[in-house]
Amino acid sequence: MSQRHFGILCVLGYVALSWAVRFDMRRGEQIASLLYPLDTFSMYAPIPGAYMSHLLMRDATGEVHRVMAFRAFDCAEPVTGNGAPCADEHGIEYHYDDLIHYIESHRAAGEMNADLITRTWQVRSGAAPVHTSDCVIAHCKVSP
Amino acid sequence: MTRPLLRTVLATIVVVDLISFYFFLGDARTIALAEGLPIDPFSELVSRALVRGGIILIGVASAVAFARRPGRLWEGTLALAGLILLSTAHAHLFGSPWRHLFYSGLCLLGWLLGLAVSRRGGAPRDESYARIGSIALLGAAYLNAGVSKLAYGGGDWISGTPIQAVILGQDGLVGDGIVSLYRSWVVATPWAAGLFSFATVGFELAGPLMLVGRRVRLLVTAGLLLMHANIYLLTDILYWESMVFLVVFGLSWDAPTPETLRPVTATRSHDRRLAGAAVVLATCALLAIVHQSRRFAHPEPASAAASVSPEPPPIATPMLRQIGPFTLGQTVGQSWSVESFSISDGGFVAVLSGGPGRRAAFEVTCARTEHRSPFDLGAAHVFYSSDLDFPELEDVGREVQQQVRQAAAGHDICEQLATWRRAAMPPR
Repeated sequence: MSQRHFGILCVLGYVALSWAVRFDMRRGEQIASLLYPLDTFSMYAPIPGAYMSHLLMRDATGEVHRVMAFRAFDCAEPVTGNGAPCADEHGIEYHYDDLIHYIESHRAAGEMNADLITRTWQVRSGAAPVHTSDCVIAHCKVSP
Repeated sequence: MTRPLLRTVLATIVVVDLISFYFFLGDARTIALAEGLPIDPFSELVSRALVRGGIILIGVASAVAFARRPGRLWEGTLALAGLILLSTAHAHLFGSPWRHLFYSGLCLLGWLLGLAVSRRGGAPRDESYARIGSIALLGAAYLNAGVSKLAYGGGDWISGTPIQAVILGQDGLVGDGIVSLYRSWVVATPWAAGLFSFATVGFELAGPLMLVGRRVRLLVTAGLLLMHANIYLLTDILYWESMVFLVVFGLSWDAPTPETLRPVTATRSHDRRLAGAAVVLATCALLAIVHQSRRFAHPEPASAAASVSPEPPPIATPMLRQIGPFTLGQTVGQSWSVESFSISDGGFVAVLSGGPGRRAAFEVTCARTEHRSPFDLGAAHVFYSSDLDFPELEDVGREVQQQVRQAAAGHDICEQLATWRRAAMPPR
């Protein structure tokens, strides 16, 4: 068997096996193949919904900052769980979870007023996205 | 790149991934326990500090032994087994596999397959097939990424919309530097996002061409590296393992070593067997891709929810005229109107008509279920049921989803849903 033939068989075998079975997991449908290291690498393949959100901090002047630009968060309302508002506007789920985990692990007294928001855009084919809403999750005092 | 260097780089990244699993798996376990998520016995066992530490120690020792001499098939297999155990447990606990940790596993698997072929050919220390195996599986991974964009996203993926959405979701367009300006420009410039989408799919589909020859391999490698660099600039997503593999395998020489296995003289029957195997594998791959893309296009939630765990029948109610954001006869989307309502176990069902022979039921519910729908709103599900194909329902489904979202006005949708149901239910 020539090396090239061997390579072609490897490619075809990997593709066939990784697509043969796709399992649903907690974070999505058809997200996993039979066994590591088989995968279809479909992370960003599906067309996203018409709306996309991102978790941000909005200060008193209306300017937005990254959550990780701050090191201390003292929020008046719950930022997670069933009681937290904006539950349907998580954007990229794992990214949202990471940022919420960051806030919860940096609970401390803050100095500056800022709202924790999910900012939502409508994404349209062939056009620039439109900022549609800011949903306030919690009123916080934060420190950089 | 010489083969000892390739083997050393491969083993080093395997070691890095094995060690990093100690922390990733520990974090995933802690979060799963804190959130009270169900943990299967396998993941519970493997994620224990002592067990995962033991697996990592054995894996690292095996990878080091694999790196030290050519032809060490079993040591490499042991290291791969360690990665399999750790990645499987991590995916279960986290709820999704981490694909950036797959590249070390697939390059190692390709290397081991090549070693097995060499061993079978009587040259156990020859690594020329091993190198080709790694390149082949690296190329196959990119081919899969490109195919999945076409299978799941269709031609629309080339429009650039997914890239715009991912930048928004990852970055949030905070204006804090030159990189942010670049991100904002790409998001606001559909043709640029479209160009990047096209190039991404093109270079990914070209992944297996890395087998063709060094010149083509260099070209594909350069394209894929540029793609990764651009993804990093646009989204902060860094696939450094795959970039390192692209550099070392993409720049490697095809020159044979003295130990290179001489290919068995091809016979006609041998060629026929190879061609037959290739045809069978290609057919299986094609059928599997078509099957998975159909599964994706026709998700099961509504019908599965009905057939697997039948919901109690909707509560018989007098003629409901309004519930939540919907009223009887209201136009939804361009050509649909609300025909009837009923109260279900965890929410309500709205039956919509889109003209003769076009009906669909949408159930908005917060009932706990394993099923998911593409129209879900966090904890609230928007299941659909219809004889129509999903593409025919997608627009009206999105419209129902959007109206529910807007009616909740930023409040918890499940709380709002409970309020809507109470308001709609007749007084007892």
